[in-house]
Amino acid sequence: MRIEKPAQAGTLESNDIYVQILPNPREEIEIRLKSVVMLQFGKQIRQVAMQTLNEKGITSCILNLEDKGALDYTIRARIESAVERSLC
Amino acid sequence: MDETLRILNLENERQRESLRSFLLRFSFALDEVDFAVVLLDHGEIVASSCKRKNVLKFFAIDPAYQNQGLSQKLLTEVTYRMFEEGYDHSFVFTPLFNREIFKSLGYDDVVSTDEVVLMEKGPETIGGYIRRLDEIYGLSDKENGAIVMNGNPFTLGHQYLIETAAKSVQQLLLFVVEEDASSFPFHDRFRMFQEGTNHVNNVILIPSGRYIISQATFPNYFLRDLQNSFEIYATLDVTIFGKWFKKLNITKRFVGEEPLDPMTNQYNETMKRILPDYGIELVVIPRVSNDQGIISASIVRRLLKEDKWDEVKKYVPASTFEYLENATEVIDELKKHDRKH
Repeated sequence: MRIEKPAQAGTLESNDIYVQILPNPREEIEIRLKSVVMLQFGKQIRQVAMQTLNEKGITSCILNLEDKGALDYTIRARIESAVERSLC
Repeated sequence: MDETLRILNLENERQRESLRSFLLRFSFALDEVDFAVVLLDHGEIVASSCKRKNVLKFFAIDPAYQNQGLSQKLLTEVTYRMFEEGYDHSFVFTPLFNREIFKSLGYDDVVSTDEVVLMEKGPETIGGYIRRLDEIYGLSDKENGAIVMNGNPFTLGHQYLIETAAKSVQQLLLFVVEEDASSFPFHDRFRMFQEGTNHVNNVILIPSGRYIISQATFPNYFLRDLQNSFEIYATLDVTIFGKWFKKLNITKRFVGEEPLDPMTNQYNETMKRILPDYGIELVVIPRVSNDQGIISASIVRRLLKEDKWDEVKKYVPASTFEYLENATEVIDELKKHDRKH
């Protein structure tokens, strides 16, 4: 499934993550990540993000993530919200 | 503490007034904004953040409420609104002491002065933009002159200035102001420039983009006298040109002599002061006259309002005249409003 409609979720507050999901003309998943804990957790955040998109059946989108130190289940929940807002 | 987040109704005079008086405490003079979010504590504003289009401004927090994460709350609201409006790039114009807050929110410097900083966030920032210009037009291979014009509308004065400047450089980059704050829309102005400079071989027309004389580089912002605040923006705008556009191998910037408008004159003085620091020479070209005196676009607009078409002919090239004859809608609009630009 491809993302057609832009949507957002989360906040810029500490321990949260701000998520934007957008259509990707290149028909693939592109994750752009900015994080305050990039060095320690950058790879893990990307993994959680990719896994969440896979579970939602998304095959094409641009996912902008601005992480302020969110825990895995917060990241998962925010991405799910963004996807659902985009699909509704 | 018991704060409430509220998005203000800017049509409501009372709400606007409370924002205005809050901002006064920070020496900010509220002007045109299209979105304002505030935090209230017992009904009193303690923090605010506003925007106009993609430019964030009037970010202020009462000192007693700082370091409590309020800025993140406010900026989330503004970020949401900009995203809903379809902007993928945003600017913030703010006093220097707020730089770290915005840096932590992913904003990068465009330029700063002693007092203020212009920052931005988006998929393409100024470094990438300059590289892209260079790739599209192959600019830095040549020694370039630059000229920034609005052309509202394009006159014989513009044409003369371009012809004169083009003679003294290998290539002339003509930046047409893209911000639509003028009577004639950008698309029409760009076309008038194209048609009016067709005969000059070494001119490249470039839309001025978001970094030259735009909403971001000239926001109305500070209280204090108009003169002083204009000086701040002019410095910012010219510094962007010196610091970033210089990479396009620009050695000269041309302007028309400005005997009429004090603002434009001050802008020219600012260029004279700053550009040499970046290795760019400012060249002032005298204005051209006809039998009525100096040629200027503002005179043409006045003549159009008065339907003096025979007079208009003495001020504009044939290509512009032809356009004007068919631009009924724009000219009707011009007659309705008494705008300065």
